[in-house]
Amino acid sequence: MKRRNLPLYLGLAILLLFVLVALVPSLFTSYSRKDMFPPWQGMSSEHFLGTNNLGYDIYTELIYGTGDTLFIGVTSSILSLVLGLAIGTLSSSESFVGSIFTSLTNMFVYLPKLVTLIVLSTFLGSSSFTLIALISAFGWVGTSRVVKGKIVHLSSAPFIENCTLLGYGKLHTVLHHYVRNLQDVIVSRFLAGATSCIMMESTLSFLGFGDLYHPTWGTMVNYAWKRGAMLRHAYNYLLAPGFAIMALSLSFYFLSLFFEKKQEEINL
Amino acid sequence: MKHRLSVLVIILLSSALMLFARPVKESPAGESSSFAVERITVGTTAKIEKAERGEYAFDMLASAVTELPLVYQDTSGSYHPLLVDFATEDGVSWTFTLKDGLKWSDGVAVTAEDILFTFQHEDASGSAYLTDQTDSKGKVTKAKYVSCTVSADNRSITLVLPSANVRMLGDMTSFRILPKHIFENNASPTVADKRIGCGPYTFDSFSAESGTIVFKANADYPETPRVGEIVYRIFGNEDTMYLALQNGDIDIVWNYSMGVPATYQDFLASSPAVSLVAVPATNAPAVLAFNNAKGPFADENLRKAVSYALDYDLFKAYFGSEYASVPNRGFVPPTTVGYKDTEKLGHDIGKADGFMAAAGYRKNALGVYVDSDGEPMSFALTVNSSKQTHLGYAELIKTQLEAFGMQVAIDGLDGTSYNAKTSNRFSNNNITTEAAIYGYTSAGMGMMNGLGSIYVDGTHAVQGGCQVFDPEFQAVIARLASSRNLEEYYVAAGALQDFYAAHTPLIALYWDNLIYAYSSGLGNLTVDAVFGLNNVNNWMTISSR
Amino acid sequence: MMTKYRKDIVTALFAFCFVIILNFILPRILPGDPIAYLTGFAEEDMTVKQYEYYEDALHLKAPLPEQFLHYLKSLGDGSLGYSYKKEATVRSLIFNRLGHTLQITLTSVCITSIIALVLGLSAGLSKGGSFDRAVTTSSVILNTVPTFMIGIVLLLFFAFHKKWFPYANLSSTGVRKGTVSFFLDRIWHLFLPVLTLVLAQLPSRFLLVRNLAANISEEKYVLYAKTRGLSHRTIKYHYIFPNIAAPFINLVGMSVGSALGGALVIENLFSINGMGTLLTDAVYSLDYPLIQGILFVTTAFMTLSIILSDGLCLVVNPKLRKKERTQ
Repeated sequence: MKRRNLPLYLGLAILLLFVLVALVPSLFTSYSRKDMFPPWQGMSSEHFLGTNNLGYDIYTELIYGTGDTLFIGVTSSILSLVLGLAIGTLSSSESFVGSIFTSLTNMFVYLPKLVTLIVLSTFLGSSSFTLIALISAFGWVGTSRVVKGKIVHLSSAPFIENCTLLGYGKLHTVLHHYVRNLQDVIVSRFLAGATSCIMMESTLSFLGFGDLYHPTWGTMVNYAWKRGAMLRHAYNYLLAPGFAIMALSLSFYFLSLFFEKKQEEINL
Repeated sequence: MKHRLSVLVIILLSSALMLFARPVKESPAGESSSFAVERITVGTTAKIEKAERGEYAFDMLASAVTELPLVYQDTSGSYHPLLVDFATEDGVSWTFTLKDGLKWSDGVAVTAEDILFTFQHEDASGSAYLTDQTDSKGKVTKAKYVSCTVSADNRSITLVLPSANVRMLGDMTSFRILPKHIFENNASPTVADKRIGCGPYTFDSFSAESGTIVFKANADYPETPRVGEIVYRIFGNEDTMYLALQNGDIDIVWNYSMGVPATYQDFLASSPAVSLVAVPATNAPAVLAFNNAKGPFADENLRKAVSYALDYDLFKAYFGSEYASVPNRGFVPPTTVGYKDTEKLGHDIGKADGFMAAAGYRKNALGVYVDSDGEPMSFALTVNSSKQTHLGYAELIKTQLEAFGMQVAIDGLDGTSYNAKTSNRFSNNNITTEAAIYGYTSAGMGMMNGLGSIYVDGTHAVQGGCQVFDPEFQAVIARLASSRNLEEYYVAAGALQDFYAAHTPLIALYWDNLIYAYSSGLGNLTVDAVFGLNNVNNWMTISSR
Repeated sequence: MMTKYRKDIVTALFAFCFVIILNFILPRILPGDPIAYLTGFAEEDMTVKQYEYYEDALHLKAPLPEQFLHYLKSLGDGSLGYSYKKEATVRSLIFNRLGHTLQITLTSVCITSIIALVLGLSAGLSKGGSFDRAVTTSSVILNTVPTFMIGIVLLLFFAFHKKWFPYANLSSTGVRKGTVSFFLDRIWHLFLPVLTLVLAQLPSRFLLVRNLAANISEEKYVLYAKTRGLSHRTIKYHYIFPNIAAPFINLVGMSVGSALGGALVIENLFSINGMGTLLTDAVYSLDYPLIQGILFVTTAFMTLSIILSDGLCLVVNPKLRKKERTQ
């Protein structure tokens, strides 16, 4: 009993910790984000992770960056999920509309993701909202294919046929039967999507896109890389944000593990 | 199990093999043991694609080895002959005489006709050296030189200017001549043709995969250099380049018009393998320029308020080297020809507040400056986000001004969009920034009438970021252009700096020396004002300890 | 005959056309004056004649449809356009660099696929066993590390700290092309970049193969094979593998696309002049022809690899072929 729930507790604990940090950053650090100290200090009791080239406390930057990273990551994964659900459902219909959306999905599969994102971000600028829009614009593809597959599978299921035979309205069928059976897909896709959105965001930030005055974790690594952290052996600056990304992704993974196990048990 | 074990062993063995795949470093050819220094490796982050004449980055690099300019400028500011000796009596008519014994690398002698041909060749692609050029809109660019005559012995050339230009030699420090016998009547010169030069070195090879360009000493050059082989190594980023310097993989770091960034200076200074040399700079590395015509900073009071609200010591501390200093309101650094002492920039909140009041802004209860309608004083600060140091300046300005009571939004643009917003040519004469961070090169500062005027003058065809259209300003520019000798120039330059100090169209955030880095195993280096450590004279004096 | 495959190819071609149009539009919506970038912003002077010459050559004054026709023509004659900034045909620029990017991408796709297959089959067959748990856990943890982090850690440790491998470029100075030492030197330089990409891609590929294999392992015929006493190796490669061949090949085809994206980050880190740096340069200098060319080549590559892998699936799996025929 307890062992099965371990992933859930672990995942939730880490995630809640991050959410808390994002909401109440001042609880975790007494410095302000832009307070300037002597630059390039090593790790010490005053500066847990040292200071960067402008003298900002790296630990503080990490704390405040949590909110920015989470905001972009979670928002874009929610958006991708909604888009994926919508397009997946639309493409599952057997009419002309369905084939259009299926073709649209397939076309997006052929587009070189990162390359197009780079050209688009150059045009649209690099604010957080642009980034969210762009990541969602490519993040829905996987979800929509899974959703379409599941809906097509469901449509041929006997109990759905029963619904139509019994004379239930289409809306009722959709809301009560389809959605309930899609729940597991929604949850697993959301969690998987969250991880991939966070990865995409941090890669784009690392390449230099994104809001530069409110750095996310990916942007912090970009700064470290470009401002000489390598040369100075300032490994704290280079690696700390990466560990934060790892921890956040792990928490989502643990949660998805828990839901997967639960799903298995239902299926058995 | 056995099967898996053997696979593992194979993988481990091949990985171990990798470690021994290191190539044996090839030493330069045996005959160069007659040189004092066998080989010098120069590291650069310049982007070189084809390594041939006509490629801007390559031309700059080759100015030290094959494509020598006519004259050079030393670090005290005086000009000296390089390919040519120069003479003038009135500043209007200049005679350049080629040094003896110069030959192109295919054996043909260098003649004065090559210089004339170069002017003509450039004019054919639209430059205005000897002929006026008119564009499709009818705008006329007058020729720089009235006439250019080749002497009877084909060794000298006489240029006549429309009026005395005391700073004419500045342009000659990057003027490179083309071989007439190759490029005349030749629509498509070969790659080998485009690598022909007349310097102390000849082009040997270029490898894009290892990012190296190799030059070997030229036996036909009148003077024998001390270095047998010069190798340029192209790096993708500065970190790896400075690391290579520390490791001894390269000897000198060079980038055109750039020194060691502040972020590496203290670190390199404390490294025994690296030595630094500081040169007084003629560039302006950190400039906060206002749009004087459009936006909130059309109001002079607001510009002045900002100039008193910033704490310049912080810029000096975080971005400058040990040689950095707080600039004057006259904007140009002390090395500028015609420099005049003007009031130093200072941090004075009281004065800043006074100027805000004059502009109609009062601090409200929240500490934000608002005008009579309750609108806060806010502006967008445009910055080129591909330049790390510029981003740093923008951040510091925002932090300080927001503490003061203004609201600043950082408009971080990629290189393309930044250029599209901040210079006349790239924005089609529609500069829309309110304030922007710039870095001005030495060449740019000295161009046309000097003192960075091309950046301030709103009518300049290419730059003009500050969008100043004042008749008073134009009058001073006219005086600069028409100076017949240095004294007149100094007076006009002083007037321009007074204008800068009085109206604050732009602010220099700090002045600094240019710092160049080289390996501690080298000595007797010669630094050039335009090309830093990558210059011809360096190869003539350098020695290894 | 193969109607579904044909439909797929048609969709792919449509996608390709859509992308070509998009590639044409995208550079033109970037802000700025493209001609101004041709002589390089570093030259603070610009001559009039050059401006008009380029305006003409780039057909920028012509109406959009005409510009599009010129673009199509450049695609048709194979030159992919001419980059005035770099003074070379786009095709030559790309093909110089494409080789470098492909050396990293294709090598790592091959290595990743093979390792993922071998490990995934073993783990899927013995699902829940200690081997499976160990490898899966480490994969999961590795999966949470972003590509650039892997690259930075490897660079820091092996190149800077231990100095066992080089930290930049593809070859060392002075090594002559075509010799054995050149080949070894190239491998020495490629080791870290390829290792980074492999480590970045391996976890997700492994997990997918493992899940596929695990599903098949639950089939009755696998159980029967086990009770018959067949060795694990036979079961893996003769029973499970043929059944997952189709999705596996699909996987390999798709991973070329994501590998190209990962290569971008890696080229950045290891100072390798490949397509990634070419793209950044092109975008930075508004080199329209070059941007179009790169987008075109990348898309063509991805589409090609997907179509090839789909076709390979059909060839490999007689069941699918039969299904096609009877439809």
